[in-house]
Amino acid sequence: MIVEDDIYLQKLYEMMLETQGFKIIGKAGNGSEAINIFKSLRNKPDIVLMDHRMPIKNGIDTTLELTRLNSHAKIIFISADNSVKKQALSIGAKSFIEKPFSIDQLNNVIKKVIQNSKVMNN
Amino acid sequence: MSNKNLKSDFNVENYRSIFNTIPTPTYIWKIDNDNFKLIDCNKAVVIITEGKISVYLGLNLIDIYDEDSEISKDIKKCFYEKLNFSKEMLYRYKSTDKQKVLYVTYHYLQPNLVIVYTEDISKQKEAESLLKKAEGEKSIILESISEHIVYQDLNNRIIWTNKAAADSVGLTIDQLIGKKCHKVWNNRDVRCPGCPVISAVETCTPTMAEMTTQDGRVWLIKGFPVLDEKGNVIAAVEITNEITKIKQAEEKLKDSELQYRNTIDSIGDAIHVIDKNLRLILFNPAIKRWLEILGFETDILGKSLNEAFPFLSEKILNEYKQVVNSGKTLITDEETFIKGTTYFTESRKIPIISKGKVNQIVTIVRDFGERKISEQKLKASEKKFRHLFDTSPYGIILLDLKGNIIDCNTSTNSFLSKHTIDDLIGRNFKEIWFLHEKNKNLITLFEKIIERVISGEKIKDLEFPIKRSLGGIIWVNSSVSLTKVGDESLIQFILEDISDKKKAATELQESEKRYREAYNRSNFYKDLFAHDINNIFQNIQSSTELLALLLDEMNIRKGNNFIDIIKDQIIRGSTLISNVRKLSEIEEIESPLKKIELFGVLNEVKNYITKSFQNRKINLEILSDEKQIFVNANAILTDVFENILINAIRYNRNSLIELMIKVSKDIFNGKNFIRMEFIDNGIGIPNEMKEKVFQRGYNHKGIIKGLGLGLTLVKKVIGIYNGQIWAEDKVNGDYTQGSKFIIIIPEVE
Repeated sequence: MIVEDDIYLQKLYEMMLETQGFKIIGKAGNGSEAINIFKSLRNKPDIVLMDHRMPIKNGIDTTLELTRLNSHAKIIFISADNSVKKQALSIGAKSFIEKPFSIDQLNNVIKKVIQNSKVMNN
Repeated sequence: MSNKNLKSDFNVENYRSIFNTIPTPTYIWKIDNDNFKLIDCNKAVVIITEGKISVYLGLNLIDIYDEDSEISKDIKKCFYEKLNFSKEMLYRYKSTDKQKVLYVTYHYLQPNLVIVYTEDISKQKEAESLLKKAEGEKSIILESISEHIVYQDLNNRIIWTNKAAADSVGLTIDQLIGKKCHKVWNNRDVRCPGCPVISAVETCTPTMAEMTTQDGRVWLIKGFPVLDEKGNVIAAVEITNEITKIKQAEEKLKDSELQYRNTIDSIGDAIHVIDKNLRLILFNPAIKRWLEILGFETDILGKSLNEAFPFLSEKILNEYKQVVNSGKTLITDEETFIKGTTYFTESRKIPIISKGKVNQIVTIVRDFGERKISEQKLKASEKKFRHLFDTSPYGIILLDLKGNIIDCNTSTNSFLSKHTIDDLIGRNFKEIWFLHEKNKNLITLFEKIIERVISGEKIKDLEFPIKRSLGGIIWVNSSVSLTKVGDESLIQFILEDISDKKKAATELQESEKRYREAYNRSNFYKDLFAHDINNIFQNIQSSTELLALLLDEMNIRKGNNFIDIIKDQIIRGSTLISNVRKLSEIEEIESPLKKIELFGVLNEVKNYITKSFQNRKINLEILSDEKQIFVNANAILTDVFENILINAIRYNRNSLIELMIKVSKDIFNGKNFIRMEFIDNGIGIPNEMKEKVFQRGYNHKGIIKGLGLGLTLVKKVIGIYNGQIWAEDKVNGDYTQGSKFIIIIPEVE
């Protein structure tokens, strides 16, 4: 699931992920929308890519609410501002990627998060 | 002539004649067979009985007296016991019925006669009685007086003494009688030398002397000779008073007088005493010294004031007259001109009053020439300090502990514009503030200040506004403390007009606020810019990557070269943004330093670099003899190393980028440092650029374009770590072989 207010980036993330074999089951332009979509999804996403600076509800508040809704939600926090990294990880984000990043970086982080969750679940 | 002859010459008539001439009434009783008969009496009996005795002559005893009467018994006793005796007897004459005191003598005359002599001692007894009474009265008087009265013979043996004398030695009067005076009072076996009693006896004149007994008591002894009718000394009377206390008091008085005299003599002030006629009756040595110095006669006792002190003005002489008339002390300052010199003196003329009139005047004259000079100096000094006090820009107020204004300077006026200094002094601060309706709130403030200061607190930099009566507000900074002026504790207020400072501070605050707002706006724009530009970069990067994938699929290899350039520029742009953000963070808040393990950071950076530049062939080695090294740093240390290494990669044209990080321990200026050398085989830095690459805002040109901001950040961070950074050639003297960036940071144990 992609949460990003920049529609171009939203599209590009989708294309980048698809090249790596991932399937996008939901896209949101702000935090509030993301929560509604997340709630509506019967099958919850394996990964939520969460941008920080968004209108209506920012990434930190949305992460807090999502993790409260579903403690298993695996959120990868994305921001151009490295200073929020610590806060994001402390409220439940599984990883942090600083913009701009490459496809490889994104791919590696997603794989790592999925792998870690599998280890945890086992 | 013999007795026999004498006897023979006398006949009965002779005896009868003699018998009748005996003045004592005499009775002759004859005893015949236990019958006592009055057979005769002399003429004296006839006289006292006025002849009525003739009735009783020839009568028997029992016919005249009762058998149990005293006289009957006595006559019988005399006869039967042949005993002669005398006794006093109260007897009432039967012939005259008069009662008399008789001294009766019974005399037995062999063989059968009893002669009874009856001497009338009634008058004698009466006299004795009167004498006894008189003596008793005298005795009471003598006993009651406190003086010791001792009547003694010529050998000083005590014949009589009064009780006071006996009490003085703890004995009774009877115990004293017969003892020697000198033994009793002085425990001496011989007469006391100087004894006035002895002297009185010897000179036949009353004599007086003071004597001290062994117990330390002092006596005033008066000796009086006792003369017989011929004028011969037969005894002496000693009258003694104890005067120990009087003597002690006198001694004390003498000592006291001496003390006063010595004191007066030792005083530097000139002191003299004059009588009411203004004649000198006493003066101390200081007067004499003054007169000597001035060249005047010093023998002035008894002289009048103007004779003794010819330099005295008429005014001063009149002052004495004034004191005599008024009876009041007069204190005056004088300037007396004597032989070309002016003397400054202060005189106290003190009257001594007796029976309501001035009898004497004590004058104390003090030379205060030196004091006058000191006073003048003090005045000048005071004037200077007063000038400083008054010209001080600070308002200075001295209050007593009740809040009354004792003194204040001219500047105070600028704080309390309505008042002059004279208005303020003597008034309570409450009155001052009360007059200004707008400043009433200051009363409470000042009360609290005074309370705190009295309890020992020093108040500094207390700021408050005073509303001026002429309009406007004056801001005051005050310091208040307790201070001692002489023996008095005062509260010292120092007031500073800080209206201008306050205004400047307010302006500064406003300016700061404006700058803060501008800064916040700038920060906001910076963040907005950084975020949005990174979003743009993210778009470009993602797009180019996807494009590269597409070109790969289309097998268009040349296009990938351009895409590499785009990717490089994106990295460069985002690094620039990151650096700008970090630099501003460092300048704003220096994040706290902590103990960090250096190799951990270096290995993290090595991994990052290796992953970030996968399209470049990089050989990065970390060389060190040490296994673990600690430095004081923070999270930015990672960025420092990354910055240096990214530059080394970016500005390297070799197909194999060789990077080496040498870590060693070193000592600089006696301190342990860690030395890190970042050695590359890049394009190198010419000598003239080696310092400039660390300068902020450096406008990069040519081959090192783009290095500046990162190294400025690096240098700043290293400075925060108390370290240094500089650039050298990899091969000394040939910068084209590559660069060597050297960092030293203090080691932490």
